[in-house]
Amino acid sequence: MTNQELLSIKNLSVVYNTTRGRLIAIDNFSLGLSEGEIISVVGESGSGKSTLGYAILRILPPNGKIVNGEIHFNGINIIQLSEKELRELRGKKISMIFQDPMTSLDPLMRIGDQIVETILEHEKMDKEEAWNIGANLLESLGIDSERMYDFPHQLSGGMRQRIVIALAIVLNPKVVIADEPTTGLDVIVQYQILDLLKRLRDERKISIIFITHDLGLAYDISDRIAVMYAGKLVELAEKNKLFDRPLHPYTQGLLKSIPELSIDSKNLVSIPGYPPDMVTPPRGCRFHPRCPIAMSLCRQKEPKLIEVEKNHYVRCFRSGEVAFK
Amino acid sequence: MNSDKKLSLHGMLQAISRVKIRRPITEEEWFITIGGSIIFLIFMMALLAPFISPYDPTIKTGASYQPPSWEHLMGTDKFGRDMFSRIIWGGRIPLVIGLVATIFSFAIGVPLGLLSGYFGGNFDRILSLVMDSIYSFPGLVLAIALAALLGSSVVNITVAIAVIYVPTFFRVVRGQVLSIKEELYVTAAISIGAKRRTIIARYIFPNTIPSIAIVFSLSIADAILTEAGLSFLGLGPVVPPVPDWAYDLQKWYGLAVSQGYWWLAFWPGFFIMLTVLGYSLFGEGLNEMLNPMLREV
Repeated sequence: MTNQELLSIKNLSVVYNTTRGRLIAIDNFSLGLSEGEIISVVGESGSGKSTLGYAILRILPPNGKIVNGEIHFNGINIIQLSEKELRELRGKKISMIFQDPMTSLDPLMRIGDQIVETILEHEKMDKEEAWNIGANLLESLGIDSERMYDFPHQLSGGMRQRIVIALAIVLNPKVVIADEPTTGLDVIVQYQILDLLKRLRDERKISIIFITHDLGLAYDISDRIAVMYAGKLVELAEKNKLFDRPLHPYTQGLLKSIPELSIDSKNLVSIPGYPPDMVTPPRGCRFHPRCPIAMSLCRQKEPKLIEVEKNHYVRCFRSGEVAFK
Repeated sequence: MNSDKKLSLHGMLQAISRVKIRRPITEEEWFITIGGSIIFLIFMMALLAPFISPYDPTIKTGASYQPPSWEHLMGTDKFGRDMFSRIIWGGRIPLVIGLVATIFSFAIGVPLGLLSGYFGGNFDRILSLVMDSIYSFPGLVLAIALAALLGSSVVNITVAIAVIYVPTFFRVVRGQVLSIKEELYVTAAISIGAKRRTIIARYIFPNTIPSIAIVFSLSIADAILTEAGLSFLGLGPVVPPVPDWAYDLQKWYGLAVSQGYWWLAFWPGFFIMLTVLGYSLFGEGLNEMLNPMLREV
């Protein structure tokens, strides 16, 4: 891919050692992110999309391990960094917004203290200065700076998530990984959060990896969409291309399963079956047990990711055929 | 309005637990209020002993074995010493030993529990093994052994008692850390590049404080009983004629039974019980108040 990539992931594989055996959460995953770009990573629960975010920041749980691949940020391979170098990277260069705003703030720390703590971890300045930076940031995100004195339980869900976003961007990172940042928020607040993220991209040139299971949100926010299934990247394209002409049967199924709010829509399409057990993934194409157009080749051989059209990648032997009606 | 709130028990507890507490006054709040008042009054009594005790507790001030009267509110002992004055002064040693020993246990047990729980691995295994072996001894037996080994001065008894309660703090804190370190806000702190030291001190430790407060109060109650037990067995830190509740209790309980001089044993025993009750009520109240709320958060 191109040279202007800020973050590039190459052949990344992550496994978890579980009591049942090795679970391959991410298998040979590659993706590049340019400056100011928003990419959505879409997939079902257990597809490895959250693991991807944890792997980039190297904050996988103790039983998780990166077994293969490279993650380059500005030319540095994150996989090879020491713990100390990682600490300098985290928050300052790459940061993360977590799924659950209810639990991702320390319940015993004032909002202001959490922001100050974050700043002082990286910058040498006095507390007052850090406090002012935090207050100004909150104001710029449309939050009354008086909120600095509040504890998390005094705030609403949407407000908390805005605080979490403030924490993630207070050190002006280049890349923000947003792991389902709108879970548990109502639709209006969801879109406010999306608008906020888009604004940050425009104003601060922040690149965003937006992890979600919701294709609607993905379409709204992103430039490109990456679809993951069972730890594999199955389709990657510019969002309009993906929505107009999804090539992978799984993507087609996902798009069909978005409920339509019109009078004549009668039934809700769903993809039959469940995602595979990742300790013993199916042979061949991982999607074949659920795929309506699977053929015998799909059961035996794993398809490669191919650039079918310019910048439209897909991993399927029968790409482009209509799988779901 | 706001300052009123801070002064009330609600406000204070809210400051500790950082959780909203609902009206009306609950059982736990009564526990805490009554327990706290008992502790406060007994401390004030011991602290103000020079001003409130009617007689010098170490010298003869009346006839021997006088039952309680207006002159000697709690009677006198064999040497004609005023029991009321001895009770007032006699709380100083158990209160100080109970508090200081528990502070020592806290100062050793809490940091070890934090590190052990956070880092895990072999360090944690070895430390847990050591702590569990200390914990498996009955407290009093261990204290007797240590007191016999070190000799029974106030400092040595304090150390002996402190050792007993280290594992209690260690285990409670370690257990809390194991669950807190899985919390998303800890992962979030790591993801913004926080140092381990910061994570342990600023994010994990404050969240263990409610549990520690409970253990602290209950351990003081227990430590006072242990001190009393040691004194009762003649291994106490006190050299006569210095007043000490448990010393008086063991000195006179025989006479109280055989001669009917009940006041000699009743009052020391009563005050030991009252103190322990105060701390226990306070600790139990905190426990019931904070634990369900912690689950709620």
